[in-house]
Amino acid sequence: MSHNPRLKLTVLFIVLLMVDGTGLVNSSELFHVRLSTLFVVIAALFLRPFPALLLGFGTGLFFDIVFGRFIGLETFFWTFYVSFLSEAARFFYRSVFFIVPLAGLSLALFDLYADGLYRLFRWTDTSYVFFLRHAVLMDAVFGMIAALILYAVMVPALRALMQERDITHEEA
Amino acid sequence: MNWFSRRMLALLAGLVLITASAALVPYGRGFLTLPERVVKDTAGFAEQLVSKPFYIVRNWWQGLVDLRNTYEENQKLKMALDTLIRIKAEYDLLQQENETLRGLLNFQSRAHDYTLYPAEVIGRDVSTWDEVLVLNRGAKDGLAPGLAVMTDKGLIGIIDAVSTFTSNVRLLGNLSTRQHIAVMTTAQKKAYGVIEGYDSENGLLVMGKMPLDTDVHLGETVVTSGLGGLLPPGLPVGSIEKVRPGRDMLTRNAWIRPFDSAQDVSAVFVVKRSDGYTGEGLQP
Repeated sequence: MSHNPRLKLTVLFIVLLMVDGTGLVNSSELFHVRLSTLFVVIAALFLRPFPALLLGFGTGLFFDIVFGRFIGLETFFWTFYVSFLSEAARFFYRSVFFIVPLAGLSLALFDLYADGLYRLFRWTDTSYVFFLRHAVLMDAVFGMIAALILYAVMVPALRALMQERDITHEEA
Repeated sequence: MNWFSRRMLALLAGLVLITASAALVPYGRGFLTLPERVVKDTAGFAEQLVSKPFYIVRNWWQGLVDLRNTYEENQKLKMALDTLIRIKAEYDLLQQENETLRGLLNFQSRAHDYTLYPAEVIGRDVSTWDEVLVLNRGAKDGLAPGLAVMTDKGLIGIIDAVSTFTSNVRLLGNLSTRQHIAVMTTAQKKAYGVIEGYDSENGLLVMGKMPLDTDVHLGETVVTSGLGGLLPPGLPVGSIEKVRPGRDMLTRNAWIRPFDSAQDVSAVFVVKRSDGYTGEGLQP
């Protein structure tokens, strides 16, 4: 495995995007979670606001174009949410106990936002209880499980990237 | 203007834009812009790189699992074969009779004839699992918005957007109002209606626009009626599970259990009418 954290993270992100795009992990019906957006949330906690914003924008736009009902639903959410996370993360200690629940909650928050828009335009008439149980709760739980695995892979690389950035900053 | 105000302003502007976009962009618009086509085709290529090897391994494993049940399955198939031979003979006779009668009536319509084009599912997203499938066939294969998509069990959706090498299938549970499918029951006394909703909690399609005095029975098979124009008649959809009066109390609604819920689909057929009718001028 490469020791270059940037390359490692880029390869991981592309693999996650491809796995999510094919729906192979989710076809089992046992594990429904979008890994690439978890990647974006975790990465945003370590990145500066502008790169985080670009990452959120790109990922959202990709899902909007390939699978979306209209362009903007995901682009808007992930752009703003991720740049907000990146700003707010400075005030918290980024441990596993902070990152993992936050990643799961981020997926749940996206579900609530998307469902709100769907209800606004009457694209869905699913009951709230069904939606909370089958979408929000499932995404939060599976999101946390998947985030725990991603944490082990991503966070060392992200910390190395931060260290590298700080050293470059000090030298400058 | 401080940092917080600028952010709030941008957030509100974004919210307004997103709401306007959702309200103004027609759902199931059928066409894609050049950048959208490029992104979709590139993503489709990458998705094929992953999904092809996965399905090869999965099919091989499935073959191994199936091998264990081969003897029992063989016995059942032998019994089914006897019935099939009889049904095939009846079908051939009826088809000949149909052709003769059509010839006598000088009946030209061949709307019920269609060709099936196989396609593989290369993309599906967890957020839109019940809404969209991505196929590895696109405009270069002659696919167009509005064509029906089915599995070996029955109808699962309609082609919604087509790029050069891929296409998106809108599943039955999430059709736009312009994609509503005209269906009928196969009973002696047919009931005609339109699939206009989806009960996502129970996985049932809602067939509406049936007059209140329509005779519909539980368990009856529902197929496409062909009255919508673009879909050929006779594509199996599902069976009736529940019948209730509509909210307006002037019509009846029937809840249909689809023959294929499309939860785990790896290969499909795209249905093209043989009479060359493509619904030109119609939006999906």
